[in-house]
Amino acid sequence: MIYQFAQANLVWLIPGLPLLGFLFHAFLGKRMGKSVVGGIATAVVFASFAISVYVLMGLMSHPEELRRAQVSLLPGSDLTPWIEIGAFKVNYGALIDPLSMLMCLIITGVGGLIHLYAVGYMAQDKDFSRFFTYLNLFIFFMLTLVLGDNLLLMFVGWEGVGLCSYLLISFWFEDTENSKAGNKAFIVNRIGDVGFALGVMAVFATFGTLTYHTPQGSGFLDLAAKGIAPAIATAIGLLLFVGACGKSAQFPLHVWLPDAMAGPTPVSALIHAATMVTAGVVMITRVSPIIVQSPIAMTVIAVVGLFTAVFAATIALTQNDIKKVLAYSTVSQLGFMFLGCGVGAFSAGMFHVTTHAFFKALLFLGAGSVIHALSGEQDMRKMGGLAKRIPITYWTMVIGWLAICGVPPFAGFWSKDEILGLASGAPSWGVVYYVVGLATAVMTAFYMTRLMYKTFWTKQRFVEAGHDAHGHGDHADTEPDAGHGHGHGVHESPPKMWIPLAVLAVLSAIGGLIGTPWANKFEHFLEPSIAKHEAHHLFAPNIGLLIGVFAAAAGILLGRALYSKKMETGELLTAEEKAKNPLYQGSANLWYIDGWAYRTFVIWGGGFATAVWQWIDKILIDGMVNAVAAVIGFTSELFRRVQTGYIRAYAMSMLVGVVLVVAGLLLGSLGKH
Amino acid sequence: MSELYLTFAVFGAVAVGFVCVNLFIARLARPSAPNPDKLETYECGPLPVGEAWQQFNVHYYLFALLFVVFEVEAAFLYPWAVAYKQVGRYAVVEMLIFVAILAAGLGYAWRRKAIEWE
Amino acid sequence: MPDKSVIIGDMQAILPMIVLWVTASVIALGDVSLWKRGNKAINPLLAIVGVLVAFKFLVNTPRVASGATAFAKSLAIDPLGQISGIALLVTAVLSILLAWTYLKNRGLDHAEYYVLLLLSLTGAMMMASANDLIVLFLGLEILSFGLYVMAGFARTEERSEEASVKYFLLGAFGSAFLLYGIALVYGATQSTNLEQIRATLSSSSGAPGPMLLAGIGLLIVGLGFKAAIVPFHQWTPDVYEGAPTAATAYMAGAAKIGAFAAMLRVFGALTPVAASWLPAIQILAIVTMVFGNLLAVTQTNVKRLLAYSSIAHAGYLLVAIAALPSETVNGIASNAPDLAVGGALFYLFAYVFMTLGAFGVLVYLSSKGRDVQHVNDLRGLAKREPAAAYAMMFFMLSLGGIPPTMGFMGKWQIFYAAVTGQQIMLAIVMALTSAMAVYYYLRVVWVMCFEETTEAAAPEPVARTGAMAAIMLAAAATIVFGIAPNLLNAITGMGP
Repeated sequence: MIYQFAQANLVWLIPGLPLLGFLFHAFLGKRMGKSVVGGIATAVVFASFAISVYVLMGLMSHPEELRRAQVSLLPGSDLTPWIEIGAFKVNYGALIDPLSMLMCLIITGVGGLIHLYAVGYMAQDKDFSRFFTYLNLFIFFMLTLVLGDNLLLMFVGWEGVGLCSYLLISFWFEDTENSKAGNKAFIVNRIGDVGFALGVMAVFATFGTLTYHTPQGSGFLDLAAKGIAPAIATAIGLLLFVGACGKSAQFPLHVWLPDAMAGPTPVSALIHAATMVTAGVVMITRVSPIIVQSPIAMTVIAVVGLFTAVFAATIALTQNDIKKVLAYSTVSQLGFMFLGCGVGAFSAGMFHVTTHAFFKALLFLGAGSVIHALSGEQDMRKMGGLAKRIPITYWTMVIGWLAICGVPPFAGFWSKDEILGLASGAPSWGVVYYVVGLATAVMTAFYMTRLMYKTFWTKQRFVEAGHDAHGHGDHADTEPDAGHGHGHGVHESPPKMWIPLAVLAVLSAIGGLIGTPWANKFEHFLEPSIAKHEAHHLFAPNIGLLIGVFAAAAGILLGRALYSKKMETGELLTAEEKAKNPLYQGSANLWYIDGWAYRTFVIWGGGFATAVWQWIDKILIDGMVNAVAAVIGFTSELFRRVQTGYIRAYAMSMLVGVVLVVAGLLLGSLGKH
Repeated sequence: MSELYLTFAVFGAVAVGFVCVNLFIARLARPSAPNPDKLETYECGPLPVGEAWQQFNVHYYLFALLFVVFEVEAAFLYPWAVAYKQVGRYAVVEMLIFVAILAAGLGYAWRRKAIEWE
Repeated sequence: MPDKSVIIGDMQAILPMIVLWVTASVIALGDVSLWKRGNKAINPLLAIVGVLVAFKFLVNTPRVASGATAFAKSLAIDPLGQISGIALLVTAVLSILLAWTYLKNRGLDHAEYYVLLLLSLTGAMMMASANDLIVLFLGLEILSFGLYVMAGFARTEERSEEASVKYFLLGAFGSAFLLYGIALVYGATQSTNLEQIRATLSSSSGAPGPMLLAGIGLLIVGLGFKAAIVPFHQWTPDVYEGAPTAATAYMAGAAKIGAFAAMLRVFGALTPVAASWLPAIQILAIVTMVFGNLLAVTQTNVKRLLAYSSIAHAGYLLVAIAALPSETVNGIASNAPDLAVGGALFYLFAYVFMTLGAFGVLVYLSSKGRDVQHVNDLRGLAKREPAAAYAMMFFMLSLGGIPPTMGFMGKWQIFYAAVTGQQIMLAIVMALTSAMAVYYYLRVVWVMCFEETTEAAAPEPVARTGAMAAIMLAAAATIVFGIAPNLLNAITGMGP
């Protein structure tokens, strides 16, 4: 099962190079020019990518059942114990298998492109080197998370990426809102981390080891594969899933992700769309041999995922901030991935992780390019008409849009269809999963179409020559040498920014073809890493594909039908209509359908979305978090008064303590005998 | 266990009894001549003036401390001297170290002018 | 007269303490006669040399073994004593470096400080190796006397005086309880020797009598006072705040190590009657963890915040004590006691590095005109003093138990010992309260990094090298041992 191969000796370089980059920037970054900092930061990540490819080729040259190796992450040494406490032994080692290598490729590949993009995006920022210091550190921790050969190393990476996420969200900390968003992310994630930590304990208590696989077959996943009690599998699965909910923004721990958009856009693309937020899916997939033994845990994962998917999609329908739409969309897509895991379609979930990394990174970077072009404007009501003004951004965004809507043959279509198809065949509630998932897919297509209309296709609504539109965008202003408007009005982004867009557009266009239902190379590739679990389609795959196409088309056509009538304003409703009369006066021909769609999607959906956002999000969930903080603060203030400063009071309290302790001991023994 | 306490009780009774018996015998033997001067605070002859609660010069404490140190030294030296023949050379060395430690402390106090009265 | 080899063996066992005492005497006498209070740098230098020589002797102590003793079984020569001794010497080196800077900048540069430090260090080492309750008490008093004076070392400042008096009075109170407890335990077991006490307790059948129980209760109180356990903790914030920061740093480290090394020994010896005292320790641990963290939340003075944090950390260490008696779990021999001792020792090391480091940053920033201790003094530190600010960030993250720092590893080890020893409830409380603690530690980070500086210019500190060296040492240790905990085990010889 475990196979050692020559290329694996280079594995330590994969996280090692970004770490070197981090150290370089941390110590020397401020003294170096921006081109050196940006160049090195990007180069180390691409070098890691190249090594990942090389290692993967080595891995693939072996027969399927041998595609798993455990190697040390310290160069030139055998597996050395990293921590040893009694029977507790953890190595500083890597597990090389298709799952970890897939994640390495995504992290370093997409990550490298985003680094390149960020060199352009952050060019004018005064804290340029600090930004890349954090970014390289993030890559290091993320690689540690996916490569580690045990749960503790994953936990270390998990906390590390959390830290980097915190630092990067509040990167522009001069604005208090950004710092608050960073804190919110950190604190909400700690809730998940408690679950994860307890899950790790539970694994150790059950199996006596935290290592996934060993050559002797004594890793906990090896042991779990031989069968464990469903109750234990449920406990471990649910505890770990709590951790996954935190990091991957699943209901009700999703609240931090939309706020996290306060960070620079490359951060949103890299951390809060393509890589870190998918860590939960990776973790659940990694421990799939345990998860599949607990029908309860599976159901919980599927239901939470599905609910999050539909819930976030309804919110995305009404947001006006372009990054907020994408953020809720990310939450929704993550829900899809968990739905996949919950019905046992782990490889479908991972497939969606992969395609989502392509198209969501693309959409975020595209949005960043739009924001860049408008010198910092994020409100879609003040956009419009950008299609001709920034053509490269526009056309790449179109591909991203088609991909997320699920239009064949673009990437999102295949992965979403795979998840929905397999969800439909789930032993219980399969039909519910399918129908709700399909509805979410329609909503997704609709709100993304809405985004495209408001941004690109409707009439221009912003004021040209944007000296007055500065503000937040000062950080992300144009490069003076870009040869365009020099911050005077709309301009296409420099090549450093559109080349990554183009590459991601190509990946979003054709990346899904590795996992078509007729020849699912992707699933086959991941097989050695994932527990065998029977998952069925309710109907023939081809029919599923057809339904998927219809769903995407329905969403897009609905958007088109509604917005093509509103090219002037880009608003389905005027402000008064929104406020006063909810009934929408549309064109006579399409009145009925319009009205129906209007009621469904705008009034009910919008009302529901607003209610959800206002009540559940803002009051219930934020309120609970605030209430806990307030209670702690109040109690602390109360007990602070006990600290009077008088020795006699202290001596008295000591005496009371003495009496209690001695009396407790004496009475305790009376009770026993 | 209980006979230990018995010894203790007998010892206590004898101690208290000794005082009581002696005071009682003295009372029988001495003449009785009450005088208000006899109820004054006895302070080496002179009459006490002012409050007893007043600040003392901090040097008193230093003297007291040094005094205690050497009292403890004497308390150790005395039994050692008595048992000198039995405990032998080993104890001589030990006692020398002990005295040296105290001497070092005294030397330090001396150099810091702790025993000079200003 | 004892055998010559026995004498030599005994002397070797206390050689490190002798070295410390001789160094202290040389500094005291030399300062008043040889160098006549002229060259001030010689005092800290001599002190460091003395500590390093003591370190060398301590590491090379022959015949260290579990159960080995010296001085008629009154002193243990075992790994526990040796490793906690190493922790104490590390504390001493760091605090001497800090004192060097702090005393000079604050105009308090007297040789007596180093003398007191070294002498109280001797006491702490004696306490850590004590195999007899009387020796333990002696060590504790020697440790405390030095600390009382050091707390009042800035004798022209009222707060410092107040701290000293408070510490002394309450400390005397605490010592009295300890002594009373020792007397009662002696009464119940006919011995003050820990080995003997354990033997007596395990051979006697039936329930422990009221005298023993009361004695154990008072031992808990007396040691709990030194370790700052709720409700015997109230001196801690006042004394930590009032004492000169360098003295606070030393106090925080040495007293905690001494007290917990002693507790590990005493409660190890009391294992046969664990059923009677374990609930008390469990309750105290929970109360200490909850209140320590709770009260830290509203503090605005960094020294007070660290005082409450030290109380909270005492609570975590009590969790290890609670895991100590789990020699068997469900009838199967368990390694929980070893894990508890190992975890507690590792945690003490972590505690020393991160706490002394954090105090060190305050020392580093203090000058004659300004004693830095308020959170607001740290505003915008990341811009003014990036090295100190980033080090402080590591210390705060470590205190909060966030990987990859030593604080996380320490917590993990105690957590693991607690779970192995079936102290699940304590483990859960520990996890929850640690999560709460992150809030106030991060606030310090926040203030340093994300808020603008508001303070007026103050005179530049005269010398800062010593403090910077201490901070960097502590920061390096926090990270390196956080990433590779086995390295510390290899250096100190602890672990499996």
